[in-house]
Amino acid sequence: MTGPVTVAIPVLNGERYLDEVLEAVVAQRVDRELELLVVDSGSSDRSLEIAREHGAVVHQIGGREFSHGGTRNRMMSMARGDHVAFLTQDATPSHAGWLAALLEGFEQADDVAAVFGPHDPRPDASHMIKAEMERHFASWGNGGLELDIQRLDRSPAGIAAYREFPGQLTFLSDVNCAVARWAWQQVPYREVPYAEDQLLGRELIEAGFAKVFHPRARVLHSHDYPPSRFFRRYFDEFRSLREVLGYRQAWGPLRTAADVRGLVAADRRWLSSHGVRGRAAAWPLAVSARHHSLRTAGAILGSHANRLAPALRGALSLEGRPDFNPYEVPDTLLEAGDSFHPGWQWNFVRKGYPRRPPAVDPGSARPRGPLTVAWVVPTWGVGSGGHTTIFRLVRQLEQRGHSCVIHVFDPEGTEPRPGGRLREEIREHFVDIDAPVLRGLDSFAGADVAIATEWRTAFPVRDLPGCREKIYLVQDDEPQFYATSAQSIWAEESYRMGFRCVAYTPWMADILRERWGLEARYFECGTDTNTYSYAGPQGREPGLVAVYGRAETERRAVDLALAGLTMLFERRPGLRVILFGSNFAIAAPLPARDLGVLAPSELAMLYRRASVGVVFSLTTHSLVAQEMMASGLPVVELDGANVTSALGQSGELVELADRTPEAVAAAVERVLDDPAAASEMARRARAFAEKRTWERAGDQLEEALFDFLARPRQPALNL
Amino acid sequence: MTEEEPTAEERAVQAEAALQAALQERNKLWAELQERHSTDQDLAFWRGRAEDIERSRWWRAGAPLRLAKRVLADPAAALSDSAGALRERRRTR
Repeated sequence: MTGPVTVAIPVLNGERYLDEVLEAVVAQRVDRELELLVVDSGSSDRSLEIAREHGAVVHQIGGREFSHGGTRNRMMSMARGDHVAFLTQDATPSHAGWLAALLEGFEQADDVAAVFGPHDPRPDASHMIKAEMERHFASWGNGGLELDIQRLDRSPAGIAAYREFPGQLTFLSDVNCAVARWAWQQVPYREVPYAEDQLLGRELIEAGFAKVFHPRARVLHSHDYPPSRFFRRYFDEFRSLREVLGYRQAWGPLRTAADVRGLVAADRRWLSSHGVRGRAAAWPLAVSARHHSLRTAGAILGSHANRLAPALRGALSLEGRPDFNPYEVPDTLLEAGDSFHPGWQWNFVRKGYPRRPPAVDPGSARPRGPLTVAWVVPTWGVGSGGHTTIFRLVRQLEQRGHSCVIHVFDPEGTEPRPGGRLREEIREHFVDIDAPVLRGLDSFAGADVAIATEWRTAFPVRDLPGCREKIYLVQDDEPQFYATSAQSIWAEESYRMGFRCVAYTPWMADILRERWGLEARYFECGTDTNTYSYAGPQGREPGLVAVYGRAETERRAVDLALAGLTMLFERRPGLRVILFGSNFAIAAPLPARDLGVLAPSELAMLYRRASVGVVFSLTTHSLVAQEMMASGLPVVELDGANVTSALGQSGELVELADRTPEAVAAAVERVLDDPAAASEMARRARAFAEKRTWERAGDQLEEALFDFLARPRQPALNL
Repeated sequence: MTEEEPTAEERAVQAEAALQAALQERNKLWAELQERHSTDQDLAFWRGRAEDIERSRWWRAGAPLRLAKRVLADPAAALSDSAGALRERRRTR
C-alpha cells in the first residue's frame, strides 16, 4: 500500500495568504493519505489558529532556531510521508491536481529525487514580474509545457555544458517542490540560512539523481514591492547567493547597461504579446527600466556585499542584517576543481561521494540480441591473471556476436602507450580480440552494458551516461587485498554502489549476496585445454616442483610456499624448485630457478614436466591452479573455503595444506611419496578442468547479462 | 486472387528477424564509432610524440645534416622545399 504524502510549510506571520494556501492543500485529490505539517517560528498573528483550523500538525520553534535549510531538514524528519512537498506560506496550489502532479514526477524514473513546478504570478503582480516568471519557467519542458526529466551528463562535453548553464539543471525552489525521502537521507538540506533549495538542487544533480519539472504542479506565487523595497530585497537575496553559493553578479558600465536593456526589451516583447504596444507601452517600459535598474543594482551590491561596510550593508538590507557570513560550500563540479590537483590518483574517489546509484537509462526490458558492451579495465602487466580472464570473456562475447570496447582506466597515469599499442599487446600476450582499446573514458559513447572489472573502475562506471545496465565483474574480494587503509574502505565502497554483479566463483557470489546484499550471479573460469593439454605421470621429473611465485601479489602467499619448501628441502635435498610468474627476481631461501613471467606455451611445458605444482590463493582460487590441473600436474593449494567451495576436500582434485610451513611441506611430500594417488587425483582434476571451458564461462556471462537486461533494476540500494 | 495474409505467428517471426537485423546494424555502427575514437586517440598521441621530437634540441641540431642529405639526393627539390618552409614560417609568424 502507498504510504502518506506530506505537505510541509514553514510559517511566520503568514496570515495574509495562509488560509487560502491551506484550503487549497486540503482540497488536493491524491490516492493516499495527506499529512499537513506546519512549523511556526514565532508568529504573532493568526497563523497558528488558521493552521489548526485546517487540521495541520503544528510544530512551534523559536525564531532563533529557524534557518531555511535546518528547518526543512527538521520537517523532513517529522514528516511521515515518503515524499514531502514543500510550499511557502504565500504559495497557493493552482488546482486540486497540484500534489498529484508532483507525485507523478517521481514515477518517471527510480532515481527522481525532487520534483518542482512553475509559479504563476498573482493577478495583481506587475508586468515585469509576470514576464520574468513566464520566461523563467519556460526554460524547462519545451517552453514550460511538458514533463522534463533532468540529469547530469558526466561526459566531458556534458560537464562543460553544465558549467556554462548550471541553472538549467540545478534550479530547485522550495516555494513549490517535493523531495523524496530516500534522496534526502543521502543528500539532506545544508544547514544554511538562505539559498538552501539552490544548494540542494545542485547537490542532488551532482550526486547523480534526476530532477523533474512538472508543468501541472503550478502554484500562485509572486512578490510585488515598491521600488525601494525591491532593491533591498534583491540586495538580501544576492548577498545570500554569494554567501552560500559564491555567486557574483558580473558588472561594468557597458555590460550592466546592456543587461538592463536586454531585460527591458524582454518586457517589451511580453507587453507586445499581450497587446500593449506603441504609446501605451511607454509608461510600463519606463517602470520596467526603473525596476530592472534597481534589481541589477541590488544584485551587484548584494553579491559584492563583502566589500561594503557593515553599517552600509545594514542600511541596504530589507532585513536590516549588517553581516556577511560566507558559508563553506562543498566541492562542486561547477568549479574547475580538477585544475587544483589534476594528477592526484584518487580524484575519482573524491568525486565519488556522496553515494549515488549507478546511472542507468530508464527503459523497458531488453530483448535478447547482439549487445554493445563497454569494459572498463585497470592497467595491466603481461601475465596478469585477472586481465587474462577479462580479455577471454571479451573474446567470448565477441564470438557470440556482441560488440565490445575496452576503456583503460588509469588514474595514476602509469600507462603511456596509446590504445592501438595496448590492443596489440592484448592480442600478443593474452587473447586475439577485435575490441578497440581506448585510453580513459573521455570518448565513452554509451553502451547497452558497461562493466566495471576492478574496484577502482566501479567509481567512474557508476556515472557513465547512456547505458542500459551497469555490471560489476568481481573476480576477487578486493578489500582483502589491502591492510586497514583508505584503499580497503574504498574497495568496500564499490560494493555499496548498487551494481549488479557477476562473480568469478560461487564463493565470491555468496560473499556479495550475503555480506553486501547485492544481486550476484557467477561464472566459473575456463581453461584453455588445448594449450594446457594433459600429460600423465610418465615423463615427469621426480622431485621437480613448479611454484607460482608471483610475489608482487601478496595474496599468493609466496613466502609461505617458500618457507614450506625450504623445510622440505632440508629433509629432501634432491628437491628441485622452479619459480615462475613474477616480473621481479625472487630472493628464495633455497636453491631455485626463477623463470619469471612465461608465455602460456612455456607454462604448459613446465606443467607437463613437473611432479608437483604449488599455487596458493588466500582469496579466490587461482586460474593458474586450474591450468595445472588441466595439464595433469598434481596441485598443492592452501586449505580454505575459497578453495574447497570450488575444488572440494583435500585429495579430491587438489592436495590441501593448512596455512603453516610444516603443513605445506607435508602436503608436497604426500604428493611426491605417493605418485599413484597423485596421478589418480590429477586425472580427476583434468576431467574437472575439461568441463570448465571458456565457452562455458562465456555462456554464463552472456546469460547473466541477458538476465539483468530483461529485468528492470530494483531501486533498493545497499547504501 | 489476393495473397494470403501472414499469420500473427509469422508476423512475429518477421518482426523478430527485423529487430535482430536492426540491432546488428546498430552494433556495427557503434563498433565503427569506437574504432574511430581509438584511431583519433592514437593519431593525437603520435602527433604529440612527433611534435615532441621536432621540438627537441637533438632534432634541431640535426637539421643541417638532414638538409645536406636532401640536397645531395635532389638539389632542386630540397631548395624548393626549404624556400617553401621559410615562406610558411614567415606567414605564420
